[in-house]
Amino acid sequence: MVTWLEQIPGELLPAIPLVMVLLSLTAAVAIFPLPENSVKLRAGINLTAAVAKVLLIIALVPAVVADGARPEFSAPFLPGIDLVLRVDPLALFFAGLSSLLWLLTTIYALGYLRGAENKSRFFGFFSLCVTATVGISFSGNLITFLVFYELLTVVTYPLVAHWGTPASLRAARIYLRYALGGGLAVLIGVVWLTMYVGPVDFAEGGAEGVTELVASNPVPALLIFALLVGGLGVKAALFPLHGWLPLAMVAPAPVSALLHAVAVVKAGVFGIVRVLHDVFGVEAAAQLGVLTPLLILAAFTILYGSYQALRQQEIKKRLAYSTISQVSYVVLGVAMVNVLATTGGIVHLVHQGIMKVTLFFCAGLFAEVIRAHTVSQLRGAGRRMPLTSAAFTVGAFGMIGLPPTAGFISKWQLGTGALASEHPWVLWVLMGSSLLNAAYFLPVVYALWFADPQDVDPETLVGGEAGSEAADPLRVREPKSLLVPALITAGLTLLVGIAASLAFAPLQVARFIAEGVLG
Amino acid sequence: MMLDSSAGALGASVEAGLLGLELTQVQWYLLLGTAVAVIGMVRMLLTRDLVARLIALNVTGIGSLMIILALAARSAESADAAGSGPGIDPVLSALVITGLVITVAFTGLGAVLIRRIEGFQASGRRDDAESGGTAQDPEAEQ
Amino acid sequence: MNAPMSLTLFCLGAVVLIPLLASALSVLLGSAARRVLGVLTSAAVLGLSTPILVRVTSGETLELALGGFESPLGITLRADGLSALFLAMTAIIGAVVSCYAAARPAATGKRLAAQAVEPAGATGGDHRGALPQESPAAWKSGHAGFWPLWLGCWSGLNAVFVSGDMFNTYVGLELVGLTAVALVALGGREAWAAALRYLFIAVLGSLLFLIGVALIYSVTGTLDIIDSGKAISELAAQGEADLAAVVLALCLISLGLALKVALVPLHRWLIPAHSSAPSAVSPLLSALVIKAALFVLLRAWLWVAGPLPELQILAWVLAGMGTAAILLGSVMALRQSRLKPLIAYSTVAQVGYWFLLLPLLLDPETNALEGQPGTALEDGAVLAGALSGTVALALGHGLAKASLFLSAGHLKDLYGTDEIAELRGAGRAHPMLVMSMGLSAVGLIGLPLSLGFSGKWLLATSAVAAGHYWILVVLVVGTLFSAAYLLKAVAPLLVMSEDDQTALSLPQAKTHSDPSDKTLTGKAQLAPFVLGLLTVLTGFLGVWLTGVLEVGAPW
Repeated sequence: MVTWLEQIPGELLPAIPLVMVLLSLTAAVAIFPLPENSVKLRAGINLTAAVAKVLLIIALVPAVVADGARPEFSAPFLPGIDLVLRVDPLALFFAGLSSLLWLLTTIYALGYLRGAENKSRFFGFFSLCVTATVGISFSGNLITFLVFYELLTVVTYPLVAHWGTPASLRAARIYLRYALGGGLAVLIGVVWLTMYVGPVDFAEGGAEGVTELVASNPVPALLIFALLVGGLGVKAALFPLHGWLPLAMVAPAPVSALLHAVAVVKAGVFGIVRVLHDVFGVEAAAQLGVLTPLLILAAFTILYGSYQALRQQEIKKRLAYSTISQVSYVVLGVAMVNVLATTGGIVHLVHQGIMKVTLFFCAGLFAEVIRAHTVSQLRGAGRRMPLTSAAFTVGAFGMIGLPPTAGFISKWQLGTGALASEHPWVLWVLMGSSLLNAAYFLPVVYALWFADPQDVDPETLVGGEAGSEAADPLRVREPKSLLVPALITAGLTLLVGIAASLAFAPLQVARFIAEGVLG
Repeated sequence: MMLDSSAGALGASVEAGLLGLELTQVQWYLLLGTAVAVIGMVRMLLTRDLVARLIALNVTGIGSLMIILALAARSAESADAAGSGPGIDPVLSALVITGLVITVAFTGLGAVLIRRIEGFQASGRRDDAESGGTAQDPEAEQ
Repeated sequence: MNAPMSLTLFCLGAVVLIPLLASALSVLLGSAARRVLGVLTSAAVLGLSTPILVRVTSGETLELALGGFESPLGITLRADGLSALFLAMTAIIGAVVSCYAAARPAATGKRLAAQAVEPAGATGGDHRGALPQESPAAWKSGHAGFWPLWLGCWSGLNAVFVSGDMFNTYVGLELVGLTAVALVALGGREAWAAALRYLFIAVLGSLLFLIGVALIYSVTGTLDIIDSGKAISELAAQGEADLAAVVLALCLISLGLALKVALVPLHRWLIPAHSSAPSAVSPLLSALVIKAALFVLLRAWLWVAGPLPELQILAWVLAGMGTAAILLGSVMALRQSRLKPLIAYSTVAQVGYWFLLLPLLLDPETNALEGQPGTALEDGAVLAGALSGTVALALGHGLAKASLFLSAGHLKDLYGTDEIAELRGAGRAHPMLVMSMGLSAVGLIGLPLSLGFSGKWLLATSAVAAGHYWILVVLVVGTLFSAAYLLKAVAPLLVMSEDDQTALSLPQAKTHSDPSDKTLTGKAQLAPFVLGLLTVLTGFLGVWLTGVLEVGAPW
């Protein structure tokens, strides 16, 4: 498959980023007016667009990573400022993650929402959400980034509010408050920076003029940095700005998965990486003296998130706090400024996405099939839903960082990076966090496999299709479209861990990016 | 204040104008027009009676048209000095006539509205009760 | 695409005359024929506006002396970039709202009719005879008087936009004001008092404006906008001579127009007028009628007066009022419990944005960032940026507010109430309306992509370049507030169920007996949606808009 795709004619390359954005946008536009009951057509459009996107990404990988091509599309937007879509390795990395997980999450959501209301609305906004994510990853300058970043805010609102209950509307409102506030901070930062240096094009090693600005006007530069990172930190759920994330759990499970693994949280972190690497550049940032505070903030968020996760009984809440903690690994990695740590941070963008999406898929399965929402309700679920439980276990091990999962690779990189950096104390943070991770995930795993399902509520047995032919009367069969994506992502969690040394594996691409930035 | 500034703005040629001693005819009309307009405006803002308001609006209109007429005579004066014919500036006169027509049109519309409103206030309460609130409460009750 | 010049000039006259003729003609027709005529006219105006826009975009200012008379007594029509943009916006919104009104006659107002079916009465008709209790009269929805009034109003709007002199501007403004008052009065009994209040304000504003115009004429000897601008700048170059009169004139003009655009603290009339007007009228009032006064204000400040340093105080006073408008309007919008008053207060708040540029006009030096590495803006760009930002905000507001008022009015007509609490869950039955409201909210808040965002960006960058950082603060605060009150308006519509699983069920209003009427009602929801979509799509037009505004610009 890859062989024929490798030969993209050179003149078509610049159009590809635009095509990628338009692909999911078109899907959204086509889905919105569909009547509720045209299930097949809707699924068809969704899956076609998602598959096409994954194929395009695969086609782009060799050209961008090996040949160094930078397909670029631009259109005039405001006087002196263009909308620029450009594919560089980091963009491709993030877009690849979102495309792949969009495909899997769509399959999952098709099964999850069977029989629910407002499906056209849901999948329409779902596609818009991915449009925004792809736009964010391909943005070639700050304005374009901002446009898609705000688009993401707006289109996730109806997804979080999807159930239409007062609780979900409240969560959505709080989410919107946080996100709009953060977006506004970013906007002010962008306006300010644009006034100094003109349209801020992303460039490796820092945008044009920013280094001079840092040298000549450190105070405004510092404030701009604070505005940008602070604003992005809202979506990235950095410590004091994380309040919306646990509340957003009321959203449907596929939305939570998307929010945590690809779209919202990741968009914030991705933005921080962009600002650090391609707007300010690591040297200018080091000159400003912002790296150490950022590092400390990230480290604190990691421990705080883990500690809070430990206290949650509800599975989804526990996962939410775990996200707060895990996502800060990325910031931690890039703030340590050496190839090893940066590689670890960037690769964790993808690794965390895959692992967290697995866990949310499984949490959704538990909730749907056996109505298990809290840790104690999961007692003995391993016997009733062995495949789901196995996938969950793989994801949890990944989060803890046990070999041979993807999480181990990230933590290993981060750990060696920490030793090589001027902040060896970070290693203790990593170890502490891993212990906490183990402390809140292992009891779940234990409950799944080793606890007795003694007090199973008979009512919950009607949840799944009772497998009469199965030996165990407690065994329930999970819906395929929910189970398969979970198994695939669980498999991927293992695969990217085991095969991390292959060419074009996430780790190699991440190293390539890190060397590009620092080397 | 407006009176002062307008007189100050226009009376640049006659220094004694502000003291009211040696006013030319044109300046008299300017002052008078301003006074009428201001009185009309004040009355319009203070009264709650709709008909009185409409009349006050017309008074304001007449005051402003007087100001414009005075301005017309003034620019005609300067035209006189330049040697063209005597009389009143035609453009500003056209402005005044248009203003009059438009004020009449508005007054007519206002009168129709007032008649409807007061017609309802006189007979509408019982009608309201009968119709069971097909229409919502009037904004006027605020 | 480029029509010959003579034809384009014909269009310039025709955009004013054709709606006027159609308005007169429609008085003679029955109500169904009026609807057809209305839609045809709006198509015609849309068609006539296009060549004007194309011509102006290509860089020409169009000028036509009607009937061959030259100034001062002749009528000169002139279209530059500013005219073309406002003309185009009016054509689009006017056409969409006309289609809506044609598809939903019930949205055009309420009339008193005897129980027996009676043909629709003309506007000025006296219904009072039908009032007393012995005659069984009832309120019927739909008022055919909408069409002559709205077409007349449209003619007046276009007259204001293409007028080359202050006199015709005045006549156009009066036509707009008179018809707008009558349009409000179509809203039935509760609208009459609001209409009357609006009438007082409109007349007062026009009188002040008229005195201002007369003063300018007495100083410059001409009513032509460009000529008087030249004369004033010559006077300013010579010395102090009669500038005090110009300042006084501008004070009066600004005050008069501020009354008409409802700038805080002169805004009180707007709320009842806009919220009690019929569903097809509120969008026109808020999106278009107010813009006529704004247009004249921009003309007066930029084309007639130019940057006179004597205007400094007035500019700051108006900008202060604008800031107050943004704050007060937003706070009041947050406190409303009904949809239409909330949207009306949002208009009050948005009006404030259009006055922020005035201090920039008088102080357009890009000195704030001088000597910085790679400062982006050169001198002179500040004026252009501030004006394009303000125009983009105004046009974006037009599209978004028209869409918002249409949606809100539609809901009010269907459910008989616009209490937000009672409309909880209405989004389930009308996803398209809620979607339109969402899109227009994006435009009003100024999120990217939307014309509102482009406008705020342009205004903010010019403000920063000129060192007016306070504008940035005002924009930020205004943005936060607008997000808050629009969320308050839209979010409850999305409620699917209460805690006890009961959803909203309001009795449907009487209009739905006829199935064909129902399909038309469904189709009519497209109107706000189209406008909402345009709000967002026009976000790409920032560059183009700045270019068009350069045509015939005063600098």
